[in-house]
Amino acid sequence: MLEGFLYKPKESPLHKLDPRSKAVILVFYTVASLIYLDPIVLVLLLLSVVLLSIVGRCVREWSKSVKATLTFALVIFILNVLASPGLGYTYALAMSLRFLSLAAAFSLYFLTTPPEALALSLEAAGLPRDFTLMLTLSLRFVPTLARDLQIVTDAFRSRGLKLDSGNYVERLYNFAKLLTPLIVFEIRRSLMIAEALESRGFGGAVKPSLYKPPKMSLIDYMITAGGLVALGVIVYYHLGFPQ
Amino acid sequence: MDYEDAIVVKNLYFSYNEKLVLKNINLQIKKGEIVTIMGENGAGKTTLIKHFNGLLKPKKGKVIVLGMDTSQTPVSQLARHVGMVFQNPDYQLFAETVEEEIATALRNFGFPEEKVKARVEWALKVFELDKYRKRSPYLLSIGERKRLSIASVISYDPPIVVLDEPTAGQDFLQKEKIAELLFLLKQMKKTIVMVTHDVEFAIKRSDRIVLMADGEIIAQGPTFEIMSSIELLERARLKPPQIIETAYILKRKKILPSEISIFTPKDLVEAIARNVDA
Repeated sequence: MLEGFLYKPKESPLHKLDPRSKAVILVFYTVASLIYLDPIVLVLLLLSVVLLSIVGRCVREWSKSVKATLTFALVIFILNVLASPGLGYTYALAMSLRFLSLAAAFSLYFLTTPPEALALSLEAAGLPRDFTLMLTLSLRFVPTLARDLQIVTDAFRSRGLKLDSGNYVERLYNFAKLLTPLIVFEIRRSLMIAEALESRGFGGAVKPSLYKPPKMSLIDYMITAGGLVALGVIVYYHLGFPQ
Repeated sequence: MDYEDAIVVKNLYFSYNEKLVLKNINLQIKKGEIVTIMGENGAGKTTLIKHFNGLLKPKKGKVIVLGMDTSQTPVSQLARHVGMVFQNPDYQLFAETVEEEIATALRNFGFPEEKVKARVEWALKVFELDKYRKRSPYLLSIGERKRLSIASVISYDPPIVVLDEPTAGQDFLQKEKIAELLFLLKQMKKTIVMVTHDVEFAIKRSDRIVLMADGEIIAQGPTFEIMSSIELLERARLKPPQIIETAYILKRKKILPSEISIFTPKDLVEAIARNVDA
């Protein structure tokens, strides 16, 4: 499932955009998904993300993450029907559609944006370096974590731990055993990385310059402007002018 | 299948995400043998040994372990017969105490509790871990953690033991301890498969060497035969053991005759003494 949120290098108009202009569109999708409760609007939002994923040439990867989130959407639907019976099925449907369109938009953003470019533009926008590094490192370590989990699983299965048989409670209990070595290992790894970073001068007094300062193109400015206007319009119609 | 064989690999092919990583592997490992698999990083060694306890299943071909076809047998059943010690002990230690760590696999395989106790005691003694029995595995030194990871596998007495890079990151003393352990396992008539880059360790401890490069077996044979071929070792990107390299240089400089075989420091000293006398 995590695969659908990791950058895949490709040649497409979406990949070429600056992370900041794409972020404005992402904020638009997020706000729109949160303020509208009409299933039709939410379906339209979802469909527009489908179109964008065709433009971004990553339908296959994107649909993987959407498929994975479908299970959660179903759980949200059932929970809403059970927890607030007075609000009806339309409300429950809207809630799960809201979750789906949010997940779909974020998945598409991360599929088409290299974490380094994202960090660079955030840094250029004035965010502190510690924060941007945290962001890139956490994204960068997703595949590493997946690989570590595989190694730990292999090691435990080799000592007779049953992960593919038995009832759900047993399996859950056995999976929990994998967490101890995994957490200890990741803590050790993060300490190692911290030391390696410090020994290469990270956190020094001088503010580092950027090797390739990110640049917004004309299209980026147009998209940013369009996104901001659209955002303003939906917020205005939803909340009205502040008096 | 021959009754004497512990592991038989027939025309094995394996791929990760459409990338072929094992090509037409054919291998027979006899019971009681110490076989070392060597080759450069990415040659497919670890992928191959993961087939021995069914963690990976062949895409094509067959792997037969003690008569069991690994593609038809669950890992939990194969693991009882094939003990796998991973390269990094930190990936597998999880219990609160050292003795609990050793008992884990025994309990997973359903040993009766009195047997679990006896086996844990035995392993703690043999691996010199008894003074740490109540300590957390994570507080041990790297050498001790490595010994613990081996102990937690040997304790349930699998007839085949597979070790991935047993000497990686170990100092000389720890290496000697691991070598002693291999000797002990050999006495116990275990079949041992090792993966290592350590040519000095392999030349002393293996009966047979399997050389891999690019997902294929490029040569296999008795340790001496493989280790004396500088050409083969180069193809597998391995540096020959010092004694072999020294003998090679002496032969090339015509200080020693090319037909004599030199395998140990003793062989070398004797050959030099004979030639100096002559």
